[in-house]
Amino acid sequence: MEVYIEKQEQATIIAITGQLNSHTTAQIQDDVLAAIHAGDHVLLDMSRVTYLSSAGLRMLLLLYRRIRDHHGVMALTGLSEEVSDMMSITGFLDLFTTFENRMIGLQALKKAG
Amino acid sequence: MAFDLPDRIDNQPTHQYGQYQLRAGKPYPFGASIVRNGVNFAIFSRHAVSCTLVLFRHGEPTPMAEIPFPKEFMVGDVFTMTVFGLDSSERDFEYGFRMEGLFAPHRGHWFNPDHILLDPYAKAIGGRDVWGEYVESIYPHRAQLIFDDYDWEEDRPLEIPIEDLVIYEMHVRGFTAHPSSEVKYPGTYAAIREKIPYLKELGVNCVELMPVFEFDEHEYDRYNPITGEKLINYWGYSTIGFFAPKTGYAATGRYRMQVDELKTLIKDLHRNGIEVILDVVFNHTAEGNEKGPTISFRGIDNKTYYMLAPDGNYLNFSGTGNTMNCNNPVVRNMVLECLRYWVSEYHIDGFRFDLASILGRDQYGAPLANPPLIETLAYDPILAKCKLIAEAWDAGGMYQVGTFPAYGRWAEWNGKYRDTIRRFLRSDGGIIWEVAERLQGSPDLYYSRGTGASINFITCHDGFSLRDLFSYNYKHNIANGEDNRDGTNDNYSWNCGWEGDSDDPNIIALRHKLIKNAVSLLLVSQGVPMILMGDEIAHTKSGNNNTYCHDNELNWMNWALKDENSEIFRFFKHMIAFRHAHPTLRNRRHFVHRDYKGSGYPDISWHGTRSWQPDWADYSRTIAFMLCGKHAKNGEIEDDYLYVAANMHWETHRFEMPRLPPKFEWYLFADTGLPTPLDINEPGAEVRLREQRYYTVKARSIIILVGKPI
Repeated sequence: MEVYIEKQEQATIIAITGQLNSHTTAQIQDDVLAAIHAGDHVLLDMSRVTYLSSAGLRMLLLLYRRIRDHHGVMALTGLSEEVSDMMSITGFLDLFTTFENRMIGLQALKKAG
Repeated sequence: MAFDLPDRIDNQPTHQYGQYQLRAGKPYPFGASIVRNGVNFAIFSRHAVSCTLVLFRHGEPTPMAEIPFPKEFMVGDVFTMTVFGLDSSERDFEYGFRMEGLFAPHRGHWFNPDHILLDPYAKAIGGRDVWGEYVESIYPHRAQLIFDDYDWEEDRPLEIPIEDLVIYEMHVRGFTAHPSSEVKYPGTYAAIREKIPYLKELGVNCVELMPVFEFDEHEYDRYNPITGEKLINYWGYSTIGFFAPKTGYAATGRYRMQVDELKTLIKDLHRNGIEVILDVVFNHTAEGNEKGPTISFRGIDNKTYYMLAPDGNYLNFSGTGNTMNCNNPVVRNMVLECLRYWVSEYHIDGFRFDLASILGRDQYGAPLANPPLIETLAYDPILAKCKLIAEAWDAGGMYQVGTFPAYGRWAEWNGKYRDTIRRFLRSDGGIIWEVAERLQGSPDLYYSRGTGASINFITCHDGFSLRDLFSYNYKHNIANGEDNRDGTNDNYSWNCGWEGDSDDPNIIALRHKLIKNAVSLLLVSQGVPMILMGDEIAHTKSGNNNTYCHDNELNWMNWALKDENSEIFRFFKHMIAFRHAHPTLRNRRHFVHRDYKGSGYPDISWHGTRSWQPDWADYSRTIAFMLCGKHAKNGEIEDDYLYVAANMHWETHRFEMPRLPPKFEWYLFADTGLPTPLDINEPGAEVRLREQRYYTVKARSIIILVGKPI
């Protein structure tokens, strides 16, 4: 698992590679929270996540809500068909903001101000 | 000082076993619960001498640890401890128990520490993660932890009055397993969600799911004598764990997210105005008799969980090998806690209890006058608003249709409705008075309990499909591998002159008409109608009336039939909409046969070929009735007048309609004697009759008229 962080004007892009499961959630959470400040927008690029477990999903939701509580916006992008289906079937997809790709995501986050 | 002190002392270990740190557990709640820093385990056994917790890494063949419950942690008959450091965040482990005690089947004890036993309170069960995939294991059905953190948003059970329901009895897998369903994940909870628009189009507002508690589809060792295929426990009336949803029905079972998937389905059904009733099987378990596998209850405390004869043999009131000891207070509590769990954690709207009469037997099998379990469920505060529906008989000879102890709450599958209406539909004589009772919500059985006590159905999963009811005189169950002995012989069916499928257009037309007659009567009857999945598109089970063991087209709904039999689907759809449109069909209390609204008509009046002169003679096969719209919902609201004439005679009869008040006229809603699309109209778009006095009803046909202002 690796976390790549890239600061852009509109948002902080965070790309996760590898497995997002109970063994990696704590690290990812720490890395993300260390990289952002209150009010920052975050675009989480999931296109290189190879496995998303139930615990991984719950971590994402905690992160999403933490950032929202600090007046930021977190969005997901790059969901594979399998991950997107799994999130949709279990009701999680409705709880997140998602974008088709980075560009659309960044544009939307820019508008969000 | 560089020490990190814990904030509290009560969540710190006091004991050590190998690498595991322990603390005395909480004996309640039973099962495994996530607590701060660890997991609390609690399991009851009255007769075990000792118990060991067995831990596996997810999916591993051999245990990662075995931890005996320290004697000093025991409370009463409950083995309990808290184990620290288990990674509950991912639920990466699975757990079971070994129980030591007496092995003496003739005395009712089956303890054997070689078996790893499933927690009866397991909230998720692994091992059969994908439908049909068999995994050999020393511990095949594995208890897992779940998070109770589902976000229900605004959802809660719908609490639709029971008499307003149109129930659709369905099988999770059968609904979409057929390739014609064209769903992404066939045979799953998710696929039902994808098909909600279909349920809405049909118009049902309640689905009754055949068993969704974890079961083992691989439990049989028998083969289809025709095809050689292995038989499957397809229906699932054979519970392994009462608190866990069937994992193999979840598209996300392999991610261990079946709980979230089922809850998401329920939330979405609710959003669409559809209630969810579960068919629950508390009368027996998958462990069968002494020849069956030891999975859980038998090895944990056989004598508590099962009804036994004095010689230790299993009593068999369920017809499946064993009988749950439902009126043992410990088992009774488990049933109660199970139902409370499904209502509070899954927002379930109601339950249908398979062979519910067993719940009214004492520990030796004798029927109880005042069965505590049935009473407890009726008065339980958490179950207070949910529907309780009994299959009011069992395989031990108890038949309680009309007499099931109701405590003002319980409804029943009305088996007498099914039989009487089937006989009427095939033109049997001598039952016309009974037909009248059934159409009125069976006041002869339920007068004090109201119409909602009667779940009316003509077909259900047990028995012929509606199409087969008019295509076969006899059951054809050879494929079940029991020499055609299984399944009922009392089908009250009629093959319309040819046994099985026919390409004779006259036979096909007659069968279609009889299907329409059936659904017409069902949806104009007082009480609660229940439709069997697939009947609305004329699904056939090829004459098999007991398809419990087939994972194939006998049970899979073929979606192509929706176009092929669009005539039938359309008829169902309009009949269901008609029922929803007319509160006069959905009274809560029974008719009183008089005019208490001053409308000039009683709430219900009976007619024959002459108005006001019903023919109650033994030879009579005709009946007509009028419902006064001023008496709708027991006089609370106004509706149109309705008139239904059923001519099940094989000859045409001219019916004289009762006169309507001035400025009202009769409009035709349905006439099953007419070819499609004249057979039925959209509710509200009924056609004014030119002849207001008489209507000629063709042989074996039903008309439904609406009386409304000109």
